[in-house]
Amino acid sequence: MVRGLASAALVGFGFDRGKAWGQVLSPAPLDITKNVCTLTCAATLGPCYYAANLVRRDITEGEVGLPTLLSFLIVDADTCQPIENASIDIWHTNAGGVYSAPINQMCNPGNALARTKTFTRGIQSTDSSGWAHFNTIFPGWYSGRTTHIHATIRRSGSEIVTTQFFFDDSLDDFVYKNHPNYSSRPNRDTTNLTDGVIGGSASRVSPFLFTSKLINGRSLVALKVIAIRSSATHCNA
Amino acid sequence: MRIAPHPVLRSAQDHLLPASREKALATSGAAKRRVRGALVAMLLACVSAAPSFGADCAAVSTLSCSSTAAASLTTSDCTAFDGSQYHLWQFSGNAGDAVTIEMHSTSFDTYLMLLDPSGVPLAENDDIASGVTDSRITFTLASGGTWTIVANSLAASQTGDYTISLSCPNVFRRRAVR
Repeated sequence: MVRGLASAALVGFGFDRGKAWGQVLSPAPLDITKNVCTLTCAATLGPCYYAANLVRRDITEGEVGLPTLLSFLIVDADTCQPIENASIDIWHTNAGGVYSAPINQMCNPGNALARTKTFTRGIQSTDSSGWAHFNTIFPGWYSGRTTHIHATIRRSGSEIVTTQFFFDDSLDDFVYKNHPNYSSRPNRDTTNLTDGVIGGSASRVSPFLFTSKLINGRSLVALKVIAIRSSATHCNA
Repeated sequence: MRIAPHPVLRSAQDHLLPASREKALATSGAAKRRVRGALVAMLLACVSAAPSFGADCAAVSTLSCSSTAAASLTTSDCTAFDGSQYHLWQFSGNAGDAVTIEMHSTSFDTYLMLLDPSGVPLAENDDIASGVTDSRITFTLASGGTWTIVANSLAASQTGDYTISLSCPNVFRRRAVR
């Protein structure tokens, strides 16, 4: 039943259940349509959240890096129907692996300028089709964590779930080794499989992976379906 | 139609399209009349001044408002990181122009992406509707300049003939008012 509802709800919004949306060469091809209505579990908030309350689609604030469109589709985990007017609050690092805002100094060590900024933070609400989009740059890495995007989903002002999303390891490595805004730091020390928050196995990471399309080496689209319920999520990554 | 010359073109060979694409273009109505004489001037450009790394796709075709072009994706075309093939098409637009781009194929599952004049991806679409694997983007341009359409197959090993169209209704409305 849920499967049928999923098809009806999602195909019209850019998905065709049963086929890949954007396969990544390595490791195994990812099919974004798998488990799209499976409840998105929580992952740690971390110390770098800042209540900037910036409602904006473009969150770059002039930061340079690989131009990235992050698109999120928020659906009801029980009905698979798109949810309108859910808010998604995201935050991530700049190309240098530094967070903005006057937060815990471990998030931007020795970077006084970053503490005065609010780059790569923003909030959007889903449209009538359940979509929310952000124009940003690909996040840089910092020691001890794999590349990730933080997100908090709210409905009517109440938090539903706080979690994190990840890119395919092969994409992370390609960007860090080749893109001029990242290649001075080509060798990250933590991958999806070794990450302390989400790592350990491919199956554990898989529900939190973006599906991505990198065109011409300089334009990235990354997409994630987030399935929620009307009350706070209690499953954990 | 503005086309920026590619800064690294070095030989006449660089100006040649893949044979499959030239053939495909020549089969479309408007292109058939022009493709021989204006091939070089019409079809090559560099996408933008954005940083380039990895596999760089230099061949770009142009698309005019209210036009439809026919082409063919082959395994020798530009390849995205996911292994899928793509063509780049450009058009000039002004801030506030509403455009609709449609890609149709009976050979493969299409995927569209729209890049602003700086190469920033601002819109994408896989399927127009349930059970339809064609793609459509409707978008209001945020800035003027040369915009780029990525005409892509959804996944690797998907190639074949396709058509791509661009409509810009308020551009013609504006011209009519003048």
